[in-house]
Amino acid sequence: MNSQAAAVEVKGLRMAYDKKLIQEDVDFSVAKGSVFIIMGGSGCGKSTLLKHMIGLLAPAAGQVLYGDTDYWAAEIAEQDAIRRRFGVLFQGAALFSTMTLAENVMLPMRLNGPRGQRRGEQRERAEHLLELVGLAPAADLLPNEISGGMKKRAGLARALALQPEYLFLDEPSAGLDPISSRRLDELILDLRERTGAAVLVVSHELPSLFAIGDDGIFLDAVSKRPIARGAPKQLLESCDHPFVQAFLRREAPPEATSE
Amino acid sequence: MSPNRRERIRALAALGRDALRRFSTLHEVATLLGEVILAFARLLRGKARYDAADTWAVVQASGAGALGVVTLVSLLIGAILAFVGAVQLLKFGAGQFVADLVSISTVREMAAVITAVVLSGRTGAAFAARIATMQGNEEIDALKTLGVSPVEFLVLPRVLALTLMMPLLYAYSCAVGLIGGWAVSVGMLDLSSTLYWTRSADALEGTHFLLGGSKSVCFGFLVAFAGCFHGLRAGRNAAAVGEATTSAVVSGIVGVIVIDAVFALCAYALDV
Repeated sequence: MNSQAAAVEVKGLRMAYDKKLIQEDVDFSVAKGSVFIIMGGSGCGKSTLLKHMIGLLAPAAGQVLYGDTDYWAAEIAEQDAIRRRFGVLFQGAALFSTMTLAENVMLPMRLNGPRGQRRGEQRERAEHLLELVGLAPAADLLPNEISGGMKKRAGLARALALQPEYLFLDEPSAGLDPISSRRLDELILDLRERTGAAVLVVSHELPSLFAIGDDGIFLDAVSKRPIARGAPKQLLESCDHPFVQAFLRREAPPEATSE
Repeated sequence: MSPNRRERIRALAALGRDALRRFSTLHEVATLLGEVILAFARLLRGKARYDAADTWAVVQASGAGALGVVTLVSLLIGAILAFVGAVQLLKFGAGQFVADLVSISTVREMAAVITAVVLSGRTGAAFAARIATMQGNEEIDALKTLGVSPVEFLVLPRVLALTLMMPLLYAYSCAVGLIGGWAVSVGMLDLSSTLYWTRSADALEGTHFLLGGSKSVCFGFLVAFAGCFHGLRAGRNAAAVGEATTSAVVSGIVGVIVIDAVFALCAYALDV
């Protein structure tokens, strides 16, 4: 666990769809300026946990604390205020297909940006962010005119539009070639340094996990609870749970705990 | 437990499940309706957040974009009414009353119903497909994380656009339908042009337009609402877009016929 102050804290979270339990006893905190990885096999509830954290799905029980405020117990206005501090990159980038990349990046500024900000200023900032992710020449293209990797980077630029305190990235490297994936990892680390945001990443791309993770949690689909805590590198060296070891070493899982 | 008894219990359980499912759908409809009303109130207070460019595109697609198909269908409906009417009326030597039949049935019933059915298949389906695709691409989730209500951003502009465009298309459909009837009456039934238009003008009353116009407003709202509703509740798989589109068209058309029947009953009761 990072020794810096916690930016977001999850306490006693129980995740379930109707009566079907997904995970329980999920407890962790994420320090400011750190990259926290949510790990686990397919179907263990990583993306569901992210949905609980970004306000898309209420948990069955437990708290998600931003500062001292429990998101799910807060008034709607408070929830809106917290959400304005988020930047989210969805698994498929979730770019608005009728808008150009620049318009996509400008959208959060138009909806939640400072009052009185002129369109020209928004466009300037959008171009700056697209340049940051290496997409300046594609600013006026539509999402269907670019590749999957470019979409991910454009989604990241949109997530950064309002200088978020909390950056949530759902499978940022999934489906990317190794070079694009490496570039994206470097970009995430660079952004963490520059903005000091708490970055939460859902991923099972091993090279990425090891490259960017400062801390993390490992969810298990069989026991339906977290089975390990710590940075991916640290877990590789010291965690003795057979499934975690199999996962991080990319080996065949032991029968008793695998999916 | 005997097999017969088990069978009866199973049938009862299936009936109960179906009733609960329908009740749950009704609850979802009521919730969305409430959200649309609240979003409209925010729009009136100038607080609604929506994309003006997208709204304008929807207005164009629902209005001007539908003119071609509305023209063709309305023209043919007017012509068909004239044909069917003429075959019966000529038997009684009352061929000139074709104009009355075409004008009253077009203005009072057919223009509004046919326009709504066409737009249900065209625009309602497009709304459902667009919103369901956005659901699958996580675009709706992205809107929510930006603190924007999808109802305000996507549903309200579409519902308003179609509710406002439908009466205009209805008026246009009336004109084209009357022209269709005129073409058949003059070209094939040897009715004079002057007689056709004079009889039409005499037959039509303000209440006919009022009734047809009121229906078109309701139909516009219903078709757009059905499209958005099925789009929003779509699943996130590839089949979901097709399912949402089909459901939107079916519920749009069935809804239009049901509302038309209610209007007919009310008009009868009020002697309009």
